[in-house]
Amino acid sequence: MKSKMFRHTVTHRQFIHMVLAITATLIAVILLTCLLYTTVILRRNQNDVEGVLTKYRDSLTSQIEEYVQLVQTAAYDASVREYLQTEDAYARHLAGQGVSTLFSNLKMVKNGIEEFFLFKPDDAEVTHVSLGAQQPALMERLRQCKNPEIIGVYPYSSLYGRRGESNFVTIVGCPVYSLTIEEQQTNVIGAVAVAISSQAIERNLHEFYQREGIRYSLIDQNQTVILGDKLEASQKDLAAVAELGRLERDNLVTSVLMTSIPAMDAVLIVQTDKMVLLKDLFVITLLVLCLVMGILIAMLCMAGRISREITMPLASLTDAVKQMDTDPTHIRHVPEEGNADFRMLSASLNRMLLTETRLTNELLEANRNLYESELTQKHLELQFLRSQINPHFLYNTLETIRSIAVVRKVPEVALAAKNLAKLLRYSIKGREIMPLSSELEIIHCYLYIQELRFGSRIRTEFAVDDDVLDLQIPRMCLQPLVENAVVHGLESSVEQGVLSVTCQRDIRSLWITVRDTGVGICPEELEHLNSLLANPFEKKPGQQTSIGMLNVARRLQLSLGNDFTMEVSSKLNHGTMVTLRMPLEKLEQTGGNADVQGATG
Amino acid sequence: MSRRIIAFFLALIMWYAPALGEEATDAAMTITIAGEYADSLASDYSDSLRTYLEERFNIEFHPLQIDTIDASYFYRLRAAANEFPDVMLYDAQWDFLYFVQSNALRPLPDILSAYPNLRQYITYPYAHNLQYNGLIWGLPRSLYAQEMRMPGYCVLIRREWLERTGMKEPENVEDWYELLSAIHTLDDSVIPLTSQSPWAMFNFTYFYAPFSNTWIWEPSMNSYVPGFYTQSYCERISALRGLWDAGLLDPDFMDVHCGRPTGVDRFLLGQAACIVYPTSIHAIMAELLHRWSQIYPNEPIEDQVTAVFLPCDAEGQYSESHDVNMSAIYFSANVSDEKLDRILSLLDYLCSPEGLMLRRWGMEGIDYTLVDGEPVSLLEDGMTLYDKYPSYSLLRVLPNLDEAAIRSDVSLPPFAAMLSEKCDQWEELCMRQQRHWTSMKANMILTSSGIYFNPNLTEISFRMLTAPEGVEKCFESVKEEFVEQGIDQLIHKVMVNLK
Repeated sequence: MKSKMFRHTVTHRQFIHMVLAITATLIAVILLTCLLYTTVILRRNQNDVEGVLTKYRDSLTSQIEEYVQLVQTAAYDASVREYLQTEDAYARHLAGQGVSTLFSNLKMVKNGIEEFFLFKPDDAEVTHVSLGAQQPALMERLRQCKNPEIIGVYPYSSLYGRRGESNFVTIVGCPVYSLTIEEQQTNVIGAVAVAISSQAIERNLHEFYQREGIRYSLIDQNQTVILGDKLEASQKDLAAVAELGRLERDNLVTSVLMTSIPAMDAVLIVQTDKMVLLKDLFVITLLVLCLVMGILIAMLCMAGRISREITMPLASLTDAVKQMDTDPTHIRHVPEEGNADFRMLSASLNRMLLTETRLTNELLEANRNLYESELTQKHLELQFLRSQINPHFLYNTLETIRSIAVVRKVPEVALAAKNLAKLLRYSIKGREIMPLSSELEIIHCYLYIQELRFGSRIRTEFAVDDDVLDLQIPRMCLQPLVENAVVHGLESSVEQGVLSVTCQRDIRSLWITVRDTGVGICPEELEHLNSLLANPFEKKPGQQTSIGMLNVARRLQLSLGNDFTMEVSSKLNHGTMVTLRMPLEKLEQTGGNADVQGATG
Repeated sequence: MSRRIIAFFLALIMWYAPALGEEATDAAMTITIAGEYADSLASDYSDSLRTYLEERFNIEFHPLQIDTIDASYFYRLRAAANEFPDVMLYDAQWDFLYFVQSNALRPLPDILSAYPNLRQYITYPYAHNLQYNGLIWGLPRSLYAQEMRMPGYCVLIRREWLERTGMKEPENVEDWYELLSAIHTLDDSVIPLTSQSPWAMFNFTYFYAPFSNTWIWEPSMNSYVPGFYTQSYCERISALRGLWDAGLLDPDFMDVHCGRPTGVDRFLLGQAACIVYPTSIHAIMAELLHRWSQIYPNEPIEDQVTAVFLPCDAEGQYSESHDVNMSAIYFSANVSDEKLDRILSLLDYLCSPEGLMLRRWGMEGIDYTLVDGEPVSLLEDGMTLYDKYPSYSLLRVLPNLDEAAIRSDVSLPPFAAMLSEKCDQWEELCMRQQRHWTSMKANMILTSSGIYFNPNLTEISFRMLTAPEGVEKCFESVKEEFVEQGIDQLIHKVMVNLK
């Protein structure tokens, strides 16, 4: 199960590899799509061009046929024959008016007619300025033609044409035959020709020049550009077109389709600039690629960030945990890195580890203290057992003394024996936790015995609040303090001393003070004493002194833990005051650790 | 969020709404314009000058090319069908009254007070011939000062023939006969004299007056009679007949628009030595210089061709001219007030100082620039506005009311400038000529036979020129035909009107 989980964990490197793989796949798909679209567009364009070409060729053929019919109509008109045959100037002028009207009317029949020409057999080779210098060839063709037909494409300069810019016209001509009886009908008396404007022909090509990326050129056999752009074709290609009717040339950048236009004895070249045709597609593809690259960069940045802030910290954390798991002596700390959540998690883990370490140390220390405490207790018990004389013998003896004193009417002795027996019994027997009132009662017993000794030299004062009498406190924790005050404070003083005991409580603690007006303690000794009381189980030099107070402190620590304070304040020759503070919470609950045996030395 | 989007689209719609409205209501107005050079406005030509004017006045020209020889026939057909073009540029001296009375034309709204630039030219007596029933029915295109005798034609000679014949520039008919004969002798394949148009040829023998609408006081009849009804008319045709009979004139000069080469073709190709040509600077530049530069781009015409006067008569008198304005702009009765305003605004602009600059120099910043307030051409050497803008052939003379200013233009090409200078000299010579009474409407008075007296003088003149029986006998026949058509009644009615 564990190995399976590890197998599904994705490292940051794997994550980046995955991102790169997805992006590469996307780019490949986009490029493939672009390639497919390119193929489709080019194929459709090719089909469209061929369709338009066919339409154009048909349309042009039909259109030229109409012009041919017009020319034929003109050539067989009587006014034309009359004009050509009449020698009388005035009659020729009248016939010429008829020809003028005829041509004018025919121009209105069909658009695109630039001009009608009427040639005579004896005309000079060059007659019309508008037809330029190529008229000899035109005249030669006219002489050769026997029927109405396309004569060819010739330069034409309109009256309004721009200088230096040649227009071209398609010339359709028809011989004019004599129809008089005297002459043979095959006698050619002239020729009629019509110039068809390039605009009329070009209108058929509007489907081409409306298309972006397509250039066209209508050229004659001399490669003269009749219409459109200047596109060249080799003589070999032209020959192939003349033979096959059409020819295709295709390369990476352009596609050329050449078609023969028999109606004009010309070749139409349609060149498709693939780059222009596919420009929009390329732009779109480029945009999509840029978008994908942008996404790739964003994903890489995100992957890097995820790797840096999640995956790598997770791996470090896993490694640290693994090492801590396998090696307990390893430093209990995980690296705090990655994003905020990870740093917070690591910091929390570190705090937990620190707490664990501290608690472990405290547990070890407590065990050590407990161990030492048990040793001390055993030692004390051993001492106690050694010093213990048969308590029943003492009780009986004291009872005997009291009885004798009562018989012999010595009440002081009787009472002293009684208090002593009570004190002795309290210190030996009973629970470890006793009410404060019992503790105070024992103090009174002790002080009665001491009054017998000191008489009026010691005056005692008690200030005990009623609400503290029932509080459970460790047994024999006040009597040693009172005894210390009497023995070490007041006994050495020659003057009358005062011993005062106060017991009060506040919200959280029970406060007990034992104060005497005795000789006091010098500062060095006081400091030493307080340091001992702060750590009662710590062995320090000079521990033989103040053993009573130290025992009280130890008992309190064993019973209440560290939640108590015991401080001694003193001024030399002015007295000493011991202050105890015990938490009410623990006193009210348990009264301390009841299992701890008293250490009343 | 959605409210903001809706508000945005509403704002967008409101932003474009006025524009859409304007587009819907302010489409370009189509103006059909017919006459000579009309084809130069065809949209087939890429012409920024035409486009500029169309955009400026929000109009679109629809040209209708009408060759002069067909004009009367064409316009009468259109008048009968009530399909006159919006604007006609027409020498309607024979048809003016017919069109007015057949309700084919519309008069101008008033005296053109709203078009001050145009108005300055439309003053009496120039507009007199275009008035009828107190209304002005057309705008004159060519104005000549009342006292000016401007020669309408000159003769262009290829210099090589002057050199080859070794003759000086001829002055009278005899001199011309010698020159043309010498040319014919040197090379009989060359036509000694041709003409730009049929009626140009008839002007060669100072025939200008009878050809137009001149009425001459005839003492023998104690009356004004049409110029073509006088013996002077016959004499002038006789003078031309001498050249014709000697084979010195182009035998095909009357054959126009029938597919044959024109006299200009023959002259330009060197097949004719001389040509009778209009002195109009516009015609010279639009046709002759334009064509010449197409054929001989590297040969300045002034090096090859010179211009000389028409021959004077035996007394040394030169041809004369009169205050006629044959060419005019007419508006169809179907033209709306709005369209008429658009057309008159265009003409007014072309007559304004800015319009004059446009017509003389082209578009500022493109064709010329102002240096110290004076225009400097930006055109390439040898290039003219006629070469650059097809429409310039028409727009230059759409209103042609400032011929004198054009003649004095310092930027004229050398050949046109030379011709202009010659014209100044001829005008001085013509000042001595007698001036006759002229009226466009006189010939158009309805005779008692119920027809307008409308003789085709070009054809009649050619008939006399070629008549086997001779000019005199033919003229007698022609006069008889005039009488049969009611010329006596015409003369009578005119005299009554004059009195």
